[in-house]
Amino acid sequence: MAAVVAVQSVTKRFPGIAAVDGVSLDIEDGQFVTLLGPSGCGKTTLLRLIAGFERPDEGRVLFGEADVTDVAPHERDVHTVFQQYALFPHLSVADNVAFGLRRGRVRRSRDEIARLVREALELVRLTGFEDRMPAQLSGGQQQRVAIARAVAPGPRILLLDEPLGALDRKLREAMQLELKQLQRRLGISFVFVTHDQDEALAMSDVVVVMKDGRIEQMGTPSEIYEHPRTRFIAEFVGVTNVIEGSVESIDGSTASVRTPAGLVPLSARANGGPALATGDRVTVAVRPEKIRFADLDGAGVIAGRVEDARYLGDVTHWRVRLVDGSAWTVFAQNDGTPEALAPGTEVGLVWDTGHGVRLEP
Amino acid sequence: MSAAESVGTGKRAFGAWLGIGAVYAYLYLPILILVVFSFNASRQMAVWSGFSLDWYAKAWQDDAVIQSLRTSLFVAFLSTVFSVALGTPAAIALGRHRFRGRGLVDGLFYLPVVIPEIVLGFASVVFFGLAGWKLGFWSVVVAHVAFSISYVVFTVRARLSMLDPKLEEAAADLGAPPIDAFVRVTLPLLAPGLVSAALLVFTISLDDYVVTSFVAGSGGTTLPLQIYSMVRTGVTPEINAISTILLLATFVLVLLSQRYETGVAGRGTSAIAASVVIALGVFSIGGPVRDAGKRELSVYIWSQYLPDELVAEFEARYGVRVNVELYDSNEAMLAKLQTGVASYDIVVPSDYMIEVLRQNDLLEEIDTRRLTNLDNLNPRFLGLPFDPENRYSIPYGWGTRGIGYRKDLVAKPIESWADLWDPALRDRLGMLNDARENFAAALKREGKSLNSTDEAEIARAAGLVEELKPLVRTFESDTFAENLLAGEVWVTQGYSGQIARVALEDPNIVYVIPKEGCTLFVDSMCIPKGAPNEDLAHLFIDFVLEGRSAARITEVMGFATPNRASLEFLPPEYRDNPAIFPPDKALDNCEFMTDLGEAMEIYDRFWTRIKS
Ligand SMILES: Nc1ncnc2c1ncn2[C@@H]1O[C@H](COP(=O)(O)OP(=O)(O)OP(=O)(O)O)[C@@H](O)[C@H]1O
Ligand SMILES: [Mg+2]
Repeated sequence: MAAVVAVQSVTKRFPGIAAVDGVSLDIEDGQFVTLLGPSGCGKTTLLRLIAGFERPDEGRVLFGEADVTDVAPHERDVHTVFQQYALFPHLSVADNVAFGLRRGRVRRSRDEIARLVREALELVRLTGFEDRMPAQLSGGQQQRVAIARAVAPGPRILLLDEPLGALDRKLREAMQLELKQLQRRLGISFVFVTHDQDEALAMSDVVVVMKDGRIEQMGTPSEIYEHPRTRFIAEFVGVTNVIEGSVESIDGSTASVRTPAGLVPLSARANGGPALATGDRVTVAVRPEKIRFADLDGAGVIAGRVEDARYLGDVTHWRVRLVDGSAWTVFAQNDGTPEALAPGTEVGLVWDTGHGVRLEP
Repeated sequence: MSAAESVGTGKRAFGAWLGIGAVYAYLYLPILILVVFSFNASRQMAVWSGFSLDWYAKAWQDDAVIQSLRTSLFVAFLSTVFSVALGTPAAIALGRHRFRGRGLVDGLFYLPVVIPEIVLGFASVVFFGLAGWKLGFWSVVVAHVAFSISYVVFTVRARLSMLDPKLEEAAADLGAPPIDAFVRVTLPLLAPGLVSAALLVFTISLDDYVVTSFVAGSGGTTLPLQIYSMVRTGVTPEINAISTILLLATFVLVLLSQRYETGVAGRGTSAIAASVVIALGVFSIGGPVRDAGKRELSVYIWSQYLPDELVAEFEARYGVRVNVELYDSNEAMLAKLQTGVASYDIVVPSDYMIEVLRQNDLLEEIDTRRLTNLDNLNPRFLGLPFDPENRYSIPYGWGTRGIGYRKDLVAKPIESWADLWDPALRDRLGMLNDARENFAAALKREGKSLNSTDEAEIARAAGLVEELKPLVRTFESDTFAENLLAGEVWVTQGYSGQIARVALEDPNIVYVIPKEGCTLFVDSMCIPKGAPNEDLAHLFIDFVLEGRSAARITEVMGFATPNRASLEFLPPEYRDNPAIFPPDKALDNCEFMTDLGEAMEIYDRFWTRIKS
């Protein structure tokens, strides 16, 4: 099955910068794809290339089999939910939602338009708001009108540029859930832009991590989280602890890595990279929740000194200073094990071999 | 109001209020006085004698005023439509698109706002001249559109910059092609800006004087031009009334414009705006052009010189249309003729100007054989020095510039220019605001010619004028007669005709030609070079030469006619009025002013020093 949208080696340059640099990306039907990356990495530009507001300098954009690289935005079968909603301030909620229904290739009767408007507003739970003007709505309501407006004409793909950026935390979380449900119900593809990693992980089928106009890594949320390819991803998505060392010995599938803080285990095939050999320099990353406290003299234990604890109710975040001077974070469930470690206490840190991730240099 | 609120409290606030109050008082008090006196029953400024709407009624019945108001509204309407239609796309191009030279184009749109109007006006005339385009109604519209576009571009761009460009993208995203997106999204959102721009431009066009005065030709006399030319011959409360209406219209339009600009305009505002526009539209449908298709005689004449009824009579008799345009100085008329952009059939220059026009080859010869009523003229006014054989000019009216005074306020009758140098007149003397006339008073007092080119004589005269200065209350060429009537000045230098008119209202006012003599002036009808209707022009001159016509001119306008045959038609208070028709003896020492050529510089030099 061909992808609904295929971006093929697309480059878009602005004076002094390649905002999108040789990006290829396939979006499958019904997928929730998230573009994740720091500010300025080219997320909006990539979205605009798909919507047709920008023309690529190199590469092609395909919708199914059709090459739409040179097709104007109003002739593309995608709709966008804009970063600041961009509702038409002079039109009522109903007219905003009907805007796309009155245009496009499909001719619709008045009754049909009225019905579709009603359904779209039902979908975003705004029934009864038909006659309001956008200025008379709260931020969250405006957000929903923007979504209703974009989904009403029934596009194959919906592009959403940080649609939740302007909402407060509570509302944001509620809307995340709603959006996800909406996407399932409509069964269409969503391309969703965010620079919030939690949002990306919580909602997506596929997360596309971008950096400097390029795709850094693409995969399911757990792939991205559990097996970040680079230090950038490991640090951008979630919290991570990193230590460098060299392979001292290999025992079957497990390598021992000599680090300034001690000997740590590492799966010899971690991240599907080339097999390790003795003497290789490696960077090992470990997620904070994978680490346990242990006796100092155990195997695969590294040593550090407790510096600080942040008690958060369900968990406690510990900061531990390793002997090489780097600060590590450890998340410990508050599950009854008494772990009242005073600052300054010397502790050992240990994790399962499989949880150590070898990062690309 | 928020600015005022933030001023603060206590003493500082009080001071600030006082300051603001003073500024507003300075700005608006004169206007308020003007408005109040437009309801004054008396024609005298400064004396309140009861509420009355008479002046409004009078203005309403004044054909010239109403016609000019129609012209103004029509011009304003057309300039608004064209400048908005042209300025809006320009604003959008500048605001939304990047192209080479945008900065330059941008700057060019700002220029007309900062260029002095007088430069714009002059440049426009030169442009029309080069383009071979006759001045008239359309030249006014074109010039107004030219400077109005800038205001449209400003206003619309300001609005555009507040408009989220994402909205247009959103429209395209939802399937709207560019034109559809523009009509459905951009235009409705720009609408308040457009309405605001339109109201602003309408107001600016309605109020413009300077540029219009340059580019107006036949059919282009707007209300401000009309008001200005009326002011030249004396301020009457009728002008206050017209000004009040103009002010009110401007005020309403600007207020509406602001409401649209700031976006507080609601249904009510729109209703008011719509009804104002409709009312103005209905009124202006009378339009600038009457009786299109008829032959047309264009008369370019001093304001208050040609009674409307004579125009109507001539039109009826010959089945033509007469287009009257007004000027207020010989020099303005000369400029129009010189640029060659306007075409007139009749002009009425003063004596010395006829010489100038002839030297510039701007006059057509008059065929006196076609004038059946030439014999009606007093031979005394034929063969005058500026046109010894009357080949170019036929006298129209004449007068003197002597002294008017109030016999109830001065100790003894005034007979001589020397009587002006009387310390008792301190701050009660009026003089014309004109270098030549002030020097004429002094030169005549000394028994010299008022056309003296002798530097020593002029210098001595300057000394005398300097001595006179502390006595002078106003140097005024427009309102001297009213000032005398109001008793604001007791003695004034002035035109015989205007003083004669106020003398008929107040018997205490006397006009006298000083025994040393004074300026004598004759205004004559001439046919400019290239007059399109030279035959009608001859008919018109002959018509004016009829005794009855000449009598009407004197009766309505107050100055003397050189027409003997008119005397039998004149009522005795005119015929036997020495202020209008002085005895021949009194004129013995009077002189025409002549063009002094380079010697004029001497006068100007002293005059500048005296006035500073
Ligand atoms: N129209 C433009 N002209 C010039 N440079 C642009 C333009 N649009 C984007 N850029 C540049 O391209 C780069 C990518 O911009 P883009 O808007 O795609 O980033 P983003 O990932 O959406 O960032 P954010 O999270 O802040 O929205 C940025 O460096 C930006 O400055
Ligand atoms: Mg963005």
